[in-house]
Amino acid sequence: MQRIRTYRRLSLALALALVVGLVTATFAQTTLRIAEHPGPHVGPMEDYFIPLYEELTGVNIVMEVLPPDQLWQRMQLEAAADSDYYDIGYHSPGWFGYYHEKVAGLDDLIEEHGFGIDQYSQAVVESHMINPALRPGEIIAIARNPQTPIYAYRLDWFEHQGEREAFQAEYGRELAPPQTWEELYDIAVFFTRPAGETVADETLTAPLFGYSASIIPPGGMARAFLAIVYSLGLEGWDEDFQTDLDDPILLEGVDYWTRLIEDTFPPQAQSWNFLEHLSFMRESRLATAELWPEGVLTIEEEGAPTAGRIGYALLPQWPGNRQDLPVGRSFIGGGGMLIFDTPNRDEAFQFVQWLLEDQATEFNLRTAMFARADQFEDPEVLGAYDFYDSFLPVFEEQMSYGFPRQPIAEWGAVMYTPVGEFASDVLFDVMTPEQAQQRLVDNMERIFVESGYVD
Amino acid sequence: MSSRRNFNPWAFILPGAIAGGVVLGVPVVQAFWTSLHRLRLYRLHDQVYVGLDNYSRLLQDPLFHLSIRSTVVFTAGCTVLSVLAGLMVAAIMSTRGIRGTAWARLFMAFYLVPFVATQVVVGMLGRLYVWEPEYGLVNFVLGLIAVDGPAWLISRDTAMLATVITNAWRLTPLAILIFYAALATVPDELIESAEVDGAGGLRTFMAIKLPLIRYHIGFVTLIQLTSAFREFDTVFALTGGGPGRATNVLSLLVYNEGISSANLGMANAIAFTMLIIVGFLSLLYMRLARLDKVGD
Amino acid sequence: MLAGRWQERAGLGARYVFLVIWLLVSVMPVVVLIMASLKDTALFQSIPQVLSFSGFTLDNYERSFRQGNYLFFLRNSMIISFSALFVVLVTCVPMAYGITKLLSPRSRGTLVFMVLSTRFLPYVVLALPMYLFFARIGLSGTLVGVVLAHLAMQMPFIVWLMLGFFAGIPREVEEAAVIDGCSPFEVFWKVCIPMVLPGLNAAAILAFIISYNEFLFAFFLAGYDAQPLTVGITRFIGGADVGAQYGVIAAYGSLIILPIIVFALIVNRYIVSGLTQGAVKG
Repeated sequence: MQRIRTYRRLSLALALALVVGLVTATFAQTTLRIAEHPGPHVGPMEDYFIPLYEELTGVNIVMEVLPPDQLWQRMQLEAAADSDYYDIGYHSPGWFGYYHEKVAGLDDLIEEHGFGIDQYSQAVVESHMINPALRPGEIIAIARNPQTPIYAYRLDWFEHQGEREAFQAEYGRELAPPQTWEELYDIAVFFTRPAGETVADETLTAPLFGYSASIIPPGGMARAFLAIVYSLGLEGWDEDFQTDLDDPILLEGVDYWTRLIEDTFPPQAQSWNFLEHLSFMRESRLATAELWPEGVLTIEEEGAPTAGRIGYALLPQWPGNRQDLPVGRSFIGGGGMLIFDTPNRDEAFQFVQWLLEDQATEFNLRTAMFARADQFEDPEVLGAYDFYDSFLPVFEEQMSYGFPRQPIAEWGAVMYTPVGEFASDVLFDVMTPEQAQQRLVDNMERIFVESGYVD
Repeated sequence: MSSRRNFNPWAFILPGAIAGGVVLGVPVVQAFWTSLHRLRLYRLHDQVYVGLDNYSRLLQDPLFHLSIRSTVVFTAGCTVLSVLAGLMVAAIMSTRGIRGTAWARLFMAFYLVPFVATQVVVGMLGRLYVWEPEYGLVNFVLGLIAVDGPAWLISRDTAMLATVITNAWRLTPLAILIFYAALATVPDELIESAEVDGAGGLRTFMAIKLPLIRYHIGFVTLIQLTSAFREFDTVFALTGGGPGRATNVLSLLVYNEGISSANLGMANAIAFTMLIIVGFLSLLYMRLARLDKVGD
Repeated sequence: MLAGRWQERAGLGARYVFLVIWLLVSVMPVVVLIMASLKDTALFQSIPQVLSFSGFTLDNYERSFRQGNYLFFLRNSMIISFSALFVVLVTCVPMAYGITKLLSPRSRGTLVFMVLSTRFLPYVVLALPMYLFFARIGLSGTLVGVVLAHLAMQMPFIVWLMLGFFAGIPREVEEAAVIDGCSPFEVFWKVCIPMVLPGLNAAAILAFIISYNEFLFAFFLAGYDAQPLTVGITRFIGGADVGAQYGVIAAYGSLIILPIIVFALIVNRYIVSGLTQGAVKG
């Protein structure tokens, strides 16, 4: 009988746990719910902006930070179910098509609340705030950290007399930020050294690597390799949905990329997610790197060993690229904030306006994210970090070359994932470059036919 | 005896059977149905019937063949490794002088750690602290014996090995446990008489104990085989299928196709193909090993 | 004679050495994780550095609780694990009992086979359609989806485990209860359940552990309000917070893995007996 009682008690406890759990789950009440991307803005929003806004207005705000994949998946699910669950979402132009039907148009709110839309450059508006294909004639998001990658290098090593002489002797030119991707390769090879050798007169206790990006496949690889693809002057497809990825220059590009990775990347780069390689640079294990600007504080943060020792330059040119681009380029990434069409639409917009306009300076000081003209001109912003003097001009100029992605829902399925797989499959000899290119082209053409863009 | 006749066991079975039928049957039917369609993640309301198109494309796809090969290597590797390691540890645990002691119980408690450890954490732990080429545990230990360890997870040649070892590490405790318990049922007299005959420890084990627990070896093999075949969490967190496609087992292929490439029709075709493969194999195996006679 | 005993001692010693090595293989990775979680957040530390007893900090834990919302996700993990456990036990235990009481061996065999064969379903096969299904009926992201998925995942295992225990009950015991005037349900509840209580404990513990550790279904099906720890930690993977937060990942990982390991060590007696009895009898 003792045992029966034990069992009864056990099942009672279980039932109780179930009820308590369900009740607590139901009563988690909220007013505004934000679906957020991870990033340097998360800490400041959690610790400072949201509590401050809640105190000022009495509006309750819940921010959910989700890993990128899951973020757009969730937003899409909630949109498909028309659930009014999220009021505000993170806007990444590449994934907008997954939930665009549920996104609120902002024009009337912008007018009503006097939002300074003229603060955003044409390129930013084009890439992050409108979508002529899916939502013609409307503003659908407010940009927050539009960005495109630049080149970062160890200024102190580039200026070191011994290194300069050694480089001059070996390559017959000055050690300076690269003008072409081939020069970038040379510099990267030059700095790739085993432990025991020296760099700038200091003995290396661990191997030093020349260049890196975070290239975990398929996403990381795609993000990094697209800098080559767009530098080649390719865009994926034209206005008639005819692909240009069948161009043989893509094979030159992927051959270069394979060499660069094999000869100069730290092997760990293949398992690194977005921006992880910058931690490696911070530890002085990396001489030069691809830099998505939102990672800049990793290497320039106060107290970082590399703070004040980094130089910035535009991505180098690919001679013979299909559009005669004078420099290299990648797509304009980063994101913004969008409002879902829920009953809280107006309050949601007011919060976004408060955060990104009223608090523009404070937001930038805490996150180093730039989007608006007033941020680029604000003396308080510009004086916040010494490195802005060299960083911001490069950031702005590179943005003017950035490629705004074509606003179709299929961008991820025809470009992002397959391009990453293409580079990865060639790098690891899964198939020949020609086979991989054919696969890439076939996939894009099939999806365009499926979607009815071409016959 | 009369109430025995009134007793209807189906009253006990039905609730579970119905619940199981719904939670297992509906998704399987849905998977098959979706696999006959073209369905994209970004256009969930637009489902177009394409017949067996997804399957014929799949069968011609070299990457699918590659995934099958990875899955076979991964499954076989995990199964063999965990069964062998389990046998070895259990055999030593059940030798005289150790079996039944407090030490044995203590060891067994800690041997369970990999079994209960959260797979996602195991995967991350593996990536950051165990297989990391410069700072990881494995290469540190290899360094102690003056071996320069490879880059493990980020080299095509060793990634699969490291992934198999990680997952086998997680599966082994179950094998140890079951073999240890099975070996405890071998009557002592059998062993003693063998030892009197002068047979050594290993010979006794191979000749006497092993045949007696052959049912359990078969059973554990089947359990590990199926666990490894469908493993997702560990591989996902450890390598994400890379480097290249080196550890892109079928369950990851389904995920990548469905989520990253947004191709739900194809993803479900792969998933359903997996179901057919494993269904066939397990049917064969269960008939051979007569595991369906459990409970008779 | 003496030499023989000495040899035996040496043999015993060698076997203990092997068992200790295996102990290290089993626990070292977890030890490294815990030690790393107590160190500064950067990864780039060698194993001796990580294992040294200096430079301890609780920063990573503080950030796990604050930024990582640890308690919130822990609550979700508990809700999921307990709800799943409840649903699983309520459906699977009677089912296993009913199956052992089927009179015809043929239908019994068929049913056992059907239940067991679902154990071979790859979870991905279930997760994708469930995701689609819940999206269509507007149940996306709720606890219900995850709990149902866990039922699907656990059913074959728990039924199989309980089958072994119920089959071990001598028929005479039940017949005596019937003669005493017990209804079929009373026989089940008052006679059989107490007899298989150790096995039931084991099944419940294992089901709980499996649910707690599960990632795939939660990843696909749980909305933020329902996400468990295994999904919560992914926020720190590849996140672009300032610097890769390896220390925080380690701390969060430790916070996930430690409770379940400690729990398993406390109840390990039940796990051992549960798994071994089921398998060995079968």
